[in-house]
Amino acid sequence: MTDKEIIEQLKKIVGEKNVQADKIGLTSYGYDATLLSGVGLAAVFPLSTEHVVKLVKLANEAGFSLIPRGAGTNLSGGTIPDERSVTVNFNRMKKILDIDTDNFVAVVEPGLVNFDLQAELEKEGFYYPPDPASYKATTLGGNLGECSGGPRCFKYGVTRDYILGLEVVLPNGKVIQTGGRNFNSEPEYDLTRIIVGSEGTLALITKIFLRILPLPAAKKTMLAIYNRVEDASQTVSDIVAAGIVPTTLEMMDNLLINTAEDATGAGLPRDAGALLIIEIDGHPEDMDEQVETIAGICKKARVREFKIARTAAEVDQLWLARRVVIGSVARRRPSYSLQDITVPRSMFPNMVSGILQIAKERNLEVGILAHAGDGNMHPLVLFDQRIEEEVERVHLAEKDICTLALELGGTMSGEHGIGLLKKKYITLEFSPVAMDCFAKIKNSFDPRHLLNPGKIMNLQS
Amino acid sequence: MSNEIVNRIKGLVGEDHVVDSPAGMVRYLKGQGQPLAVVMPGSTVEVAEIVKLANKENLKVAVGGLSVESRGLDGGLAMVMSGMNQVLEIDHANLTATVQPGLSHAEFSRILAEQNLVFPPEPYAPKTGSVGGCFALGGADSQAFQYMPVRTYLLGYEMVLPNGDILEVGNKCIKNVSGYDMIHFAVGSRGTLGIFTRLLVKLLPPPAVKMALVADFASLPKACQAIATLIKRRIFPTRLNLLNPTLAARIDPGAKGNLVMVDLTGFKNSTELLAEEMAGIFHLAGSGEVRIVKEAEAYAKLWQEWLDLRGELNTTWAERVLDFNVGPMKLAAVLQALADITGDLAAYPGLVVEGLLGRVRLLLPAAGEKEEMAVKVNTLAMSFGGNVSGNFGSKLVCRAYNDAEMWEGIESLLGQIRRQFDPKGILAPGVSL
Amino acid sequence: MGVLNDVYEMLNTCNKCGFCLTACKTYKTDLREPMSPRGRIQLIKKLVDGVIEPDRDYEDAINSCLLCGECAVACPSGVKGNELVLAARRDLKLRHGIKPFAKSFALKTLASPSRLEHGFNFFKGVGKGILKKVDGLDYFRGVDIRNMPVAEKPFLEQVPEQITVSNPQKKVAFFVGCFLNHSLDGTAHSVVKVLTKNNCDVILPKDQVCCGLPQYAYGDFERAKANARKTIESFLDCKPDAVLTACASCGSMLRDEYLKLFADEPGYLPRVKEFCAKVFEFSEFVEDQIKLDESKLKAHTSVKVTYHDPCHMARHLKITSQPRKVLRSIPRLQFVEMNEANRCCGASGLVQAFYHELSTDITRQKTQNIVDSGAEVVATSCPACMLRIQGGLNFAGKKQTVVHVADLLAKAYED
Repeated sequence: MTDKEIIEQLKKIVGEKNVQADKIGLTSYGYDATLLSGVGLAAVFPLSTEHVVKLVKLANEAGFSLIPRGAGTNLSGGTIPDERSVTVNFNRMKKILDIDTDNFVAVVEPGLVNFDLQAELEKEGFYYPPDPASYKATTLGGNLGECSGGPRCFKYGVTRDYILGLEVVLPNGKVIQTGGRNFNSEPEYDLTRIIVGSEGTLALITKIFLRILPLPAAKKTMLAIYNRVEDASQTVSDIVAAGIVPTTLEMMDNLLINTAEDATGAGLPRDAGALLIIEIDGHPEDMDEQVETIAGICKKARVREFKIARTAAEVDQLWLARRVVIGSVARRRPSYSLQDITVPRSMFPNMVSGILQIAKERNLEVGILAHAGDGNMHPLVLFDQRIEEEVERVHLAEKDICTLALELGGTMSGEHGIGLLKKKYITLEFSPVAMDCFAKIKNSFDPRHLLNPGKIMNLQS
Repeated sequence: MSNEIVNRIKGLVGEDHVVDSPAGMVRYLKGQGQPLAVVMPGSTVEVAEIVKLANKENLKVAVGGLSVESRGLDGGLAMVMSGMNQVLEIDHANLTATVQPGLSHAEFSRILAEQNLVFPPEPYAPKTGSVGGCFALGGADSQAFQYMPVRTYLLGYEMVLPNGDILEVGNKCIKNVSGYDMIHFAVGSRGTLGIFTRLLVKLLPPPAVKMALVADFASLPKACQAIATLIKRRIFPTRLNLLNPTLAARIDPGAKGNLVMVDLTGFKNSTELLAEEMAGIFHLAGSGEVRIVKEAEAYAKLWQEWLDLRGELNTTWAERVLDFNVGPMKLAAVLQALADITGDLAAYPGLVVEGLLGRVRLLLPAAGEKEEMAVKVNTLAMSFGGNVSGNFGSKLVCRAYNDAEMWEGIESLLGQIRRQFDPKGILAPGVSL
Repeated sequence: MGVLNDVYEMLNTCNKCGFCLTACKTYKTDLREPMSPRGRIQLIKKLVDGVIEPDRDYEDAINSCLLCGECAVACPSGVKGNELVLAARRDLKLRHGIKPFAKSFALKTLASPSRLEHGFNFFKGVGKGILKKVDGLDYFRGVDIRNMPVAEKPFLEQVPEQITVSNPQKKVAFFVGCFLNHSLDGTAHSVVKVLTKNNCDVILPKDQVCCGLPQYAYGDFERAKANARKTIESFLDCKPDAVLTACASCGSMLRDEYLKLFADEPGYLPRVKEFCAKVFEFSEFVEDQIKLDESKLKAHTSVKVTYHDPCHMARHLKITSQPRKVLRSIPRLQFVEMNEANRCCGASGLVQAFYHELSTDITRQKTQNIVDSGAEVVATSCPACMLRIQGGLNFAGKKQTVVHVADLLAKAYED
């Protein structure tokens, strides 16, 4: 089939309005939130499972590949097309099919935006815990593809922990349901878990059964400022050891405290080593006891300022620095590369000092933002993409950071995925045996490598 | 030939760790299969060598903690992991433990308790269950509403694959999305993908306070109503289990009717308040007697009884148990409709409900009725948005929808995965997908 | 290309994180990337980089932007998508003038008072009928043509050049704006009534012209500047204490955009600054400058009112609390908030005419929020929003009416 014929066929399947194959459209579907880009054959917008089945069958016949895409906000190059691929945009499949608060289940289509689901759930006093920072824009299908986390997941877990079941279209065009509306519904192998986080390389998700929870009755927000990162880190360990599981333990380092202060002028001490935002939730009766314990722990760790929000406005105030932080680095340099390494909690201080060392060696500015409770860190490496030589150094620093995380017993990706961006480092994390297992999984689902080829790892087809 | 193989195995693991007399093997085997030998490896390398040999000689291999399912294992090897039963590391800073798979689940819990730590999953069978078995079987237990399913406690492992390769994945981070999720995929695979030789598990600090409530209900619908009231009022205890009178009598000889067993763990203030509130709700709902159990020994005894009962259901009675899930708020209606199939549930051999999960287990009068009952019960469960658990359930759902194509899709995918990992089909011959 | 090179730094600061997607009404409605702020910004950048040509699809992406400014609020890196689109429109104008002809004609008409008056007269006469025939509907491109009011004669012809009060505290020059002059003259009267009741002398310069925003928004800076200069001079000549407008769009043009427009004329800039400092939006002036005496307001029938924040109020002028305060001060008026009160109504000048399907969908979301709020009356501060939302409500068969904050306040001064 010629490209032109393929596009005609695509239009027949999803309708003229749901295909983009013009220059402007293809340019617009060639990028994501990384510096990578490509140009595909076409971008399509299926509206139903049936459309997806037909697209898969056509892909099999005509020999092009399919790249599932939600909002294209991923940080791994996971939706970058090539000239033999058709981007499948799920964002027009965005219905909420069922919200069953009695039984803690919501059933949705994959193109639904995480925020739009939360807004509906909130009306019923419920929520869906995974809240990636991009939740206002990202689709749930995209969240599943990458197995997104978020600030809340220290207590509540990541995306895979909230998926009860899926309806998927397999690369052979067959539709199957994995799991169901309850725990214990999986047919032996946990197909749901292997598909969640597979970055769109195993199956196309067309329906999602999510676990939802009632909103917690009470919440407390605290802010702690330290002279040294080690002290903040000690606080985190001690809080966990005390049996308190905060929903949020967000940390910012000295550089980010300064850029945030540049942006807000809120009066953060510019010589502070680290800032920690601590949030707990649960029964109203338990809040004071936990706040007291946390205050004690912070004091023991030589906290220099400790604030507890008393009103909603104060909660807002405590979050202010964290909210503006990413934007605030744009004042220093136009671009940033956001890494996603995770290390065991005990290795946190080593990782922080290691990153600062790397920054020095590579002559780059790096700010560290971390979900400190789970050891997931987002070093923001600042640069200007127009300076090629600097971009080179950024890439070297990225590799240094990944390598260090692995040396400290961690992983390259806590919540963003591998995609194209970190593919070249994946063998640093996984042995040939593990890589072989990945290949076996891929080949079981997708022997012809039709789905998102070249992502996560290179395979010979 | 077979003698020679046994000798080679003895050469690999030492004579003391191989049993090949039929009489000697009995205590290690479940079922009627007749393996060549029972082998008890002491290290990962030994496991790998045995598997390589089995692969070469085309021998079936099945694995167990203390005993092994012998179905389909005629002429094969039963691998008992009791020799690999050490706790290799407890990491307080990161709240993890590294253990060998043959470690007894109950023993692990005891060791952790001494160190003021908790491994939440309930043992599959308290007397015989191993940590390796816990993850090989997976699933969600009655604490899963609060503590999440078993798989969430596995952070990594070392595993010998069917070709003898050693796979190592995972780390001490609770957030990890690098590569395919082999970690959680292995959970529940029942020994078909490989043999665990080391496990890295997640631990929790113990809750500040633990207490239990036991409420006796003469009427099953009223007990269900009480459960529904708790959920409506957003009271979610750690466990919320219900037993019919037949089983209740086993746990509490004084029980007159259906028993609702509640486990409450958490911080002191809310736990105490909730216990009082729940006791009130149960009284109003018609419970004849509500007991709050605060004393540590009585609390431990109560839940040990529950775990023992669960063990019986999972092992001795496994062939007679029909397991299905519906939404928790649908329990009252489901049980009412179920009685149309089973007759009076109070007199039935057994009924266990895990209220927060909406999970129901029926102990059937005899094993022979399972298939026929399953079809009826599945149809009922489906009308409430649920289904019979596991693969069997999926199959029944596809059948009920008359969707042979979907079932074929699932079955061929499961088969394809298994073949990719184990092309000769040597591992876990008794497990059919 | 110079225009776009000037904003390249900002184009380069877009990290493509996508946080703007949800903020953008055109994207949320159409769901294609080129209809999103990120999509538009990347296309502009690719145009500068020479990767793409400014073809029809490119123009569609650029011209369908509502300039509502929500993306700028959502952007963590401080990129202002609306300003970049404005630069891209300026770039297109410099490349080949304004296309299509209809748009260029409309903009020229708006810029010239005599042409505009002819336009409205034509519309009042046979135009409505012709437009009805064109679309076969009363609701031409989402605007309720049949019910769209046209002033019998322009407001400025109905009133004297100066209205004086007995005890003048302030001298206010009223910038009426095209819509209030030709269509919603009742609202203009309401504004005058509120001012005079509050002891303000009102000056109504007869030679006032369009503020220049419509031309400015499509990159015709030359025409915009000509009108701006006329406006600045004629109003400063009156030596007022304040220049008042009851149109959010005019307000943002007069107060903020003029400064940008004349940034390249440092010699004239002080004059512009002098003018801009005097500009006030109606409710802002009422709340902050004349401090409403609530005891003088009379109660009428009880009515449930919600408020729609025009884009130019919420994100450009950043006036949100004052109109609400005004509404709450009116006796027996029950104020309710609607969901997404500050989201764009879909009008956005000529976008509603040239991308009417998109615009109609966006208006539908707005009217749904209004209906859901339970309000009987929607108050707002921009005549363009008033006409658009009223059209949308009529189109959906809803009975809610749209009025200007000034209308409700003026009514409270009636006996």
